[in-house]
Amino acid sequence: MRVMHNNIFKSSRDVFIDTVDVKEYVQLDRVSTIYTSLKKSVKKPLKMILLYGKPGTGKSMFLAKLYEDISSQHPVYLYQTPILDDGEFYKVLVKDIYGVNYDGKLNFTQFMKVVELHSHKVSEEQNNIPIVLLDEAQLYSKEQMEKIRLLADSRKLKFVITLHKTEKEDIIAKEHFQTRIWESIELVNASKSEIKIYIQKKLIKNNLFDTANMFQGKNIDLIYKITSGNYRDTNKLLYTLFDIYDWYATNDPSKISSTQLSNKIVEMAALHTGLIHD
Amino acid sequence: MIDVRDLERRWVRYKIKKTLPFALLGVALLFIAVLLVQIDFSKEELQKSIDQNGAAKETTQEKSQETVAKKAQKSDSLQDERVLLSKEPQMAKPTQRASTENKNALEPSMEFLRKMKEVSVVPQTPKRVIASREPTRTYKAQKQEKVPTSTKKAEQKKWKAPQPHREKKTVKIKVNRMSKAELEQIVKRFKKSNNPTLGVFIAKKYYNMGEYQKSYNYALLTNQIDSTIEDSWIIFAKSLVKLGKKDQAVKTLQAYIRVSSSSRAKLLLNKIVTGKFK
Repeated sequence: MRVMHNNIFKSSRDVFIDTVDVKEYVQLDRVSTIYTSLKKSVKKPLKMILLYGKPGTGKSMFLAKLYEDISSQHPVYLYQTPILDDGEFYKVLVKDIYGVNYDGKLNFTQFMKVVELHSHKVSEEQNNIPIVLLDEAQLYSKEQMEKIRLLADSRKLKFVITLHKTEKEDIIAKEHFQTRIWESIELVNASKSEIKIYIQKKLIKNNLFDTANMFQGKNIDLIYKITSGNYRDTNKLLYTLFDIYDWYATNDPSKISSTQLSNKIVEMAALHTGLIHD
Repeated sequence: MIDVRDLERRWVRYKIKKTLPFALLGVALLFIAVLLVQIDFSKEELQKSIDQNGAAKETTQEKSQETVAKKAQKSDSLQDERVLLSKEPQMAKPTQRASTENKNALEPSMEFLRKMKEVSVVPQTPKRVIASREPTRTYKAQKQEKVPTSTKKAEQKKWKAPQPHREKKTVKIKVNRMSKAELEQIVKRFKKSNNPTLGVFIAKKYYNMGEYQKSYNYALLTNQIDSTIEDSWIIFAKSLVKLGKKDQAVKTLQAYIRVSSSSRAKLLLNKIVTGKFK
């Protein structure tokens, strides 16, 4: 029994490891609608698509999911970590998109020549313009963003970028993308009911039915109150929660119930993750 | 590895911190409520004590007022101007008592002033009555009011008890003396003038006074002067009956009826015969 509990809690904990794993993508109604809209937008002759929202609203997961879904039919290139060096950025793009290995330094002019050269082949194949997915675009410098804009204007490449919605990043968006963005999609935190579905779907997906059933309305209320529906915070909180449960199951099993989640342990997890303070 | 024991302690601190403001607020509200109830209670107590004091004061004032009123009534029945002298010291007593009681009262009350006014009105009634009956005496009394209080008290003691009897006697004597004197004067005039009208008057007066022998004499004298006066014969007959000479009265009336056929004489004869007039 003790071993079984340990396994359940450990498995439940691992479900909430905060990684961008498309396999762990949870289909929620509202998110699903937005995703469908994004997929349609990608097929349109747009220069640039902007995905924006607060950290932890699922932008990276969205981008990864898009890549996963369209990569089999369309040339798509995902860059989850920004390539901050200018020359390196062009070299990586040339290599990934056109298969050209460039040994020396590659500046923007040289990069544009390579793009022009290979774009003849691409243009012949209608609607086959390569799509570059850039995550965490707020980390790129102003000059880099200007060059990305020029590339998008040439219609030789299509960009889907994600931005954190902060005041500073809004300014970047205004300056560089205002006139060039054809589609912008905002991602927001989950609602209370969405958070409940998110948690339960994640656990059920991994056959963790017992722990999925432990969540009561009052637990969801508290979790939503602590995380405000932010997916990243929810993942962090639940990871720690099941970690504590795992500790109790090993060291003091009388203090936990296997049928009902304790709000005390939820608060302990929140204290540990810094979501609340003592 | 999570330090769960430390987390438990942090959670206790967190709970205390979270619930402390509410607990303090609750305690504060409770304290305020208790304080308000106490204030309210002490107010009621204060009000009660004030009411009690007020009631005691009123009863004393009422008592004193009653005493004054009784005394005033007594003095009114006496109808003597000296009563007016005794009023002033009697009036002063309740006023002094009220003022000393006022010192014990918790809040100033002007009630006693009103009462004083009311009390001061009471002795004015006999004053007015006396004044209307005997203006000269009232004038004397008013003059005597100016006599110092010490002498007034002494005087009051002297004449207080026998007053009612003396007054009643005076009234009676006044009436008797006057009528007797007048009657004597009328008798003198009758003897001088032999006026039968005066004779009838004197006979009637004596008959009314119960002096039947005198009424018989004067009626006889009048009849001798003028034998046609009906009243004189009737008083003569009535006096005879009262003197126990019923037969003589009957004979006299029968003789008069034969001469005068007086209906009043017939009526009286009938009454004497039937025994209705004794």
